[in-house]
Amino acid sequence: MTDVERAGPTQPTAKSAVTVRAVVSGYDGDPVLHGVDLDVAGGQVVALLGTNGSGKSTLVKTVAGLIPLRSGEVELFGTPLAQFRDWARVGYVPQRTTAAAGVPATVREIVSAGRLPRIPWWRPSNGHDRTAVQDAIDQVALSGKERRPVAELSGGQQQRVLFARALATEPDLLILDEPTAGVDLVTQQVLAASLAQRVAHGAAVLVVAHELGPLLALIDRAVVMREGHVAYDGPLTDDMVGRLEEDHVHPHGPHTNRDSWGLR
Amino acid sequence: MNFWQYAFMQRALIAAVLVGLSAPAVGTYLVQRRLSLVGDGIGHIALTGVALGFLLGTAPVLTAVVVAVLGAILVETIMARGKASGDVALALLFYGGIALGVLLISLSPGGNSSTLLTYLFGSLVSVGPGDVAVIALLAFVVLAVAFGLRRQLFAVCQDPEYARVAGLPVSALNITLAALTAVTVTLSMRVVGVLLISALMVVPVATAQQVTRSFRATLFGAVLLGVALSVSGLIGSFYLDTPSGPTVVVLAVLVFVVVAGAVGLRHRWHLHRKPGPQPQPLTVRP
Repeated sequence: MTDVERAGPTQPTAKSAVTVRAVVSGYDGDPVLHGVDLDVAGGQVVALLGTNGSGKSTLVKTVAGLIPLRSGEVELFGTPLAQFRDWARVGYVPQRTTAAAGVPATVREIVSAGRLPRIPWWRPSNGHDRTAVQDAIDQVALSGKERRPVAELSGGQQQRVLFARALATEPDLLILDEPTAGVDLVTQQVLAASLAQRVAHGAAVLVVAHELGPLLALIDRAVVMREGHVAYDGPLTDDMVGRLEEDHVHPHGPHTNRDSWGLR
Repeated sequence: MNFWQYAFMQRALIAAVLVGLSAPAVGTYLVQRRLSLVGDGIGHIALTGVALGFLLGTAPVLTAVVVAVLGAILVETIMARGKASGDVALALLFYGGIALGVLLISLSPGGNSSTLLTYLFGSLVSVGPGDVAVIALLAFVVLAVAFGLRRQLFAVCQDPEYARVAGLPVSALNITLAALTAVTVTLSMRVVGVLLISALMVVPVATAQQVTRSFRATLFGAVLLGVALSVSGLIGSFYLDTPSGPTVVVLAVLVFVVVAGAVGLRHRWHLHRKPGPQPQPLTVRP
């Protein structure tokens, strides 16, 4: 339906991909988010920063519809979350240490699952689906490993498989929950390069990160979360970069004023 | 006379083929979801359904399907809520189900311990002409759904969180899998018995994945192995004069041990032959 409405691969950049208004949400018990506002426009890359427990992950999971809203509003591409059905436009990369489950599965099998939002249950996959899956695998530099079981891959390679699965749907919005946590530099560079390519097609990106590494150059805006509130929303400052670098180089080093991110 | 010349054996063999196809097809998804034991619990609940059939004087297979499907949906709902108390709720349901089943069968007019045993562990003489038709119908439904929705069930069992964001009807697919498990339990109980059906769902999958590298190969390998095991176990039980369920399952476990042992030996042989992996220098990030 929306495929018809869309003019082409390039989305109007001014249009909002994600709108979050006064959102309160959380798992059972006390809410984790206490009234959060956030906007991500098409073609924009927004980094969500903050310490563990600040609500970054809860926010992206709420936006992805995985955690129910207690109050407030979330809109994806101008449609309220409850009515939103065009999930083919959203690529989600969950926070995982492994892509494997109880039965072996190959790289191609897992990335192919990313194509499902574009395929009705009764239709077999066609040539275009297979091309999209292969392109996604190539983009994350796993060409030649299509038939490998994911459990045999390194942690970084498995993270790339999950990223390729999100790319296979050809998304206009990518939501990434800590894609860089504990992965090798090659994986970080591959992620940055393929994100840049999606953004060039007009896609919006919301990325939770502890370390930005090669992603740094792509970031348009930083949103710092603290105790379920947005503590800062604006350009990435040198102070924050310094803080991230410090975390990066000495991940377990002592920190003074650790959760302030240089903000007052 | 050879085994295939008996009418009851012909019926039992047809049932064994259908059970061998269905149980591992559903079992592959359960193993993928790391729910290997859930079929066992649903088997326990199915026995109450069998007993109701005896009490009401209707075909036990039909009451068992209804009770097992309802029980499976309840089990799935309890697991989906993810509460800590859910574990205890499942225990109540599983043990309550089997205890009530045994109790009601003992109270029912035609029920005695030998009928009970045929349902608990399977019996090749117990597959009647009407049973074959019912088993064939149920197996057709199970196989159509398990293979027809293969991509969707794969996605949900591999990563339910991702499947939800992909817009798949995750709860509906999980309930479908629960219902498939219940139907498989019921169609298999004549041959393997409610206490052992879970083994035929899980052991062929565990054996297949010793040698497979993909989901597809595991699914098809487990199904082929399931048919081979249930048919040869059934023939074995004919000649050994043993209950069919335990014969099939002992054979399945033996095959698993042999395959896993061979794979382990081959692995060690390769490690011995090849120089070991060199320690990688630590990568220092810039």
